[in-house]
Amino acid sequence: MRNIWAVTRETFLQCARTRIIVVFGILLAVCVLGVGFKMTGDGTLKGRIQTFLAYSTSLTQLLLCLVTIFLTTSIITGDIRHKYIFTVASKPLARWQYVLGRWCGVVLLNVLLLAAAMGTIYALAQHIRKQPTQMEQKAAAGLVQQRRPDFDRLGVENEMFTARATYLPEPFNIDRLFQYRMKRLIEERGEDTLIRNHIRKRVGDETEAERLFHNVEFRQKAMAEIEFALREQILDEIKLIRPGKAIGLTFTGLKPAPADGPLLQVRYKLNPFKSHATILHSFWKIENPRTGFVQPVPRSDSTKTTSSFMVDPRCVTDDGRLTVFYINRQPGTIIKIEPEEIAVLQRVGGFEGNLIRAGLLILLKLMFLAAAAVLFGVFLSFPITCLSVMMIFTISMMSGFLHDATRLPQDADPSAFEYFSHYLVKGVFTALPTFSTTSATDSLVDGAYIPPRTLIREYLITFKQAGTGSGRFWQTTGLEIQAGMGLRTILALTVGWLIFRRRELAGVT
Amino acid sequence: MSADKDNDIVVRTAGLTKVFRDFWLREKVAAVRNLDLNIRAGEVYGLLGPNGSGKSTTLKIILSLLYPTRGRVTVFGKSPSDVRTKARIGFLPEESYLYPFLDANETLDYYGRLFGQPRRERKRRIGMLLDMVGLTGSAYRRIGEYSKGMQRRIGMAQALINDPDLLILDEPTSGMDPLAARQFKDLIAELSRRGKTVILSSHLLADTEDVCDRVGILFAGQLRSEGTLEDLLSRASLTQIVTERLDEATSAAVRRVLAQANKQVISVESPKDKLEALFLRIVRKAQTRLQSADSVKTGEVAEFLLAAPDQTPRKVIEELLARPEAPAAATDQPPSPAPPSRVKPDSGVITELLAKDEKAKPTPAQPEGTPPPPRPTPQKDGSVDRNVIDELTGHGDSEDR
Ligand SMILES: Nc1ncnc2c1ncn2[C@@H]1O[C@H](COP(=O)(O)OP(=O)(O)OP(=O)(O)O)[C@@H](O)[C@H]1O
Ligand SMILES: [Mg+2]
Repeated sequence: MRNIWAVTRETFLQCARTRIIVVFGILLAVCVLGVGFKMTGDGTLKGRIQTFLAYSTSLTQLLLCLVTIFLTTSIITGDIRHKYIFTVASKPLARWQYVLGRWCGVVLLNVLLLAAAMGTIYALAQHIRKQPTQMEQKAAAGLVQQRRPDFDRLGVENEMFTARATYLPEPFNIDRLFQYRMKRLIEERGEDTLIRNHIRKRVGDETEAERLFHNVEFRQKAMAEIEFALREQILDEIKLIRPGKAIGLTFTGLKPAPADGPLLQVRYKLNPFKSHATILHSFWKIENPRTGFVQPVPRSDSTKTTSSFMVDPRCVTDDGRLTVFYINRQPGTIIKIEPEEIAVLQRVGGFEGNLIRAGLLILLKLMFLAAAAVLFGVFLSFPITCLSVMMIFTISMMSGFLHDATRLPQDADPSAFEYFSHYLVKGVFTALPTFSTTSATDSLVDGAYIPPRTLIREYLITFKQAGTGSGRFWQTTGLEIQAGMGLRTILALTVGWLIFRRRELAGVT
Repeated sequence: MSADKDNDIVVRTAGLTKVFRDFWLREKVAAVRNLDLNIRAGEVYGLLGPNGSGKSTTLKIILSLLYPTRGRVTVFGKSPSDVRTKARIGFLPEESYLYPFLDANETLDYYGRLFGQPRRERKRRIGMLLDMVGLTGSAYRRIGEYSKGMQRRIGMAQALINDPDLLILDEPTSGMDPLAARQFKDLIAELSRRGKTVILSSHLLADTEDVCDRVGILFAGQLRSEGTLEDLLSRASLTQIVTERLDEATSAAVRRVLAQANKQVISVESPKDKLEALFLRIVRKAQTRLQSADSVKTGEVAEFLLAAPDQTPRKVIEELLARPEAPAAATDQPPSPAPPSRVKPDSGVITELLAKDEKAKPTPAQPEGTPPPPRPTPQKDGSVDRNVIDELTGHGDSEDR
């Protein structure tokens, strides 16, 4: 233990002595904080804070990633290249202790740098928060009486300096509706015709269809397909709200809040169905069935953008349910609401805690990159290691995009090249982590709560429901297990150690 | 080497072969071939050989910095890569492979930590070692700024931080001034007296001769000759007598006696100082006059490296001049005056040595005897003229193995 610490300490000293820390500090100060601090965004205070947070955190992360890659690589390969390792390896220091010590040293440095950067970001964000909003400026100058609510200030306090969890609506229970519709379908068409038509549509060939129709097993399969299609259809129909009609969405698992507790927010997007309306009128009603408290919300929103309104905490029942009714008041326009596009946001934590968790997410990436640099550094030279880790970094940053770009086409038969690129990317994708799954920056900019669950998922392991949809409204087809970045880090270090253990330190590369 | 002495053997290699290959695994060079070494506890073993003969390679295999292609190595009966083995080894590589951005203090601290030494012990040893290698004044300067000899000194200190049972030194005196070289040779003798084992490689034959009990001569990766210095160097057919200066008459009388005994006189000359002794004297004189911290000065031997715990650290000057009974140099000949290590401890030695200054100019003496080629110079273990270079280059009548 003591000699691991010795290596860690020495690594830290070495980093501190190379001027890179100074360069990092200057870069961070000038580009990140300076630029981010000066940017005004859309002119509102909230916009300014958002821009600042977005810039400062993402650039801090980028800079730290580069510093980590560069430092780890140069230290490890330098040890071997300059033969410093001779004196070190002839001391009673096991190879794994060396690998671990080096990695810990870089991580320790990262922790300190990150803490310093996040601390600065926090202080500056608080500074911006204290600046007056436009309305407050006018009020101070005596130009307006501050009677209307100051949405900018509200936004800053309720959407920025907070950590809000997002709740999606409960899936609709369509079982009864489905049974009813199925019964009617069979009554109207007759079961045999229904199945026969379905098979005919599937195989195309009349005689073959007739033969399959008499196969009991195949009939059952066809029936299952018909039922599935009907369910899908019903789910699609439910999303469509005709003028004058209403839909009720239930959100569960919220925290029951005191009357003077923080406001909730409903965030939604309305899609006019086959219409060119630009402004959509609607009426929302939020109701607490237990207490009878009702909050009516008349709204006029522009289409295709995400809108939101605040909700009184009294609307949440004691058992954490919130029911939101939407009434389409747009004459002649059908409105479609995608279930993923409506959500309730509730404050569940503070900004500070969230900032720390965001820092931990960034740190995880740095830990992984340091491990990757160790892995390659123990047997490759400096430029090659640097390049390899940069590649990993880039691929991990873009993996979401790459995955989409090489997705197999659904309709046409994929070409050999498409197969190749798909499986290649899939392979790389499985081996490398995805940096974009939970973005620390996005979470901070949205004031979105980063639950400890996410940290566990990112650090250790995920059990994900397989399937392409975003969960709830889709049927699950299996369980997908994905190793978190922490596990990948451990794996990289282990492989690095195994290679290093076999390596002849005095051999030339 | 006998079987009953098995426990005594610290380093044992059997059929050790190291072949370096290139990227395509083609054989490039066989640096070590079929090497059998048995190095006993408490022995100072010198590995001699010309450049590229495989000395460093052998040492690196013993340290598990390289893995043998064939053959076996054990150190303290264990694998060389065992950390318990490494805890008992001190290693000075052929060049300074120390972190240039650390200062001497931090360097020793780092290596001390690697041995898991507690803080107080570390501090104590670092202080003593720095003093011993004369770098106390430069303790807070970065190693990158050090001169080659200073780097060598700190390298030596680093190798001694754990008070090793086995000290492996790759060309220890290269780059060192004679003062430091002398000190290190004495240090090695001191360590050997305490039962420590030392393996050193060198092509500086004088150094090896001064300290080694046994030497092995490597050429092209193969051990050509091995044995105690006594065995290798003593020439039973010659006798050297050193006396006070003889006047003509006495000299003639001696010749007559010898002629009567039918012995041929090969050479008669005044013994010369070695250049080393001269250098030491001059530097010492300068040092006593000028006690500046500018140049590197050596200090006391670190206490934890001394033989008996009660033994008080001696001043290096004394250490250099007065050498208590040499470790393994059993000799019945009177000590020759030349090498300073031979001089008996004496309070007036410094002044006496300094006074001799002019006389000690290394002027070539006229050999009076007829056959000039074998010119005996006063040496530690009897007069030597057989050139070890012959041995190395294979010209001599070496007992090839
Ligand atoms: N890492 C290596 N890769 C390839 N060849 C090597 C390597 N190290 C040493 N050699 C070769 O092995 C042979 C022995 O080298 P070694 O360093 O052991 O010599 P040496 O006896 O220490 O010489 P010197 O007195 O110059 O230090 C040389 O031919 C050298 O080129
Ligand atoms: Mg060498």
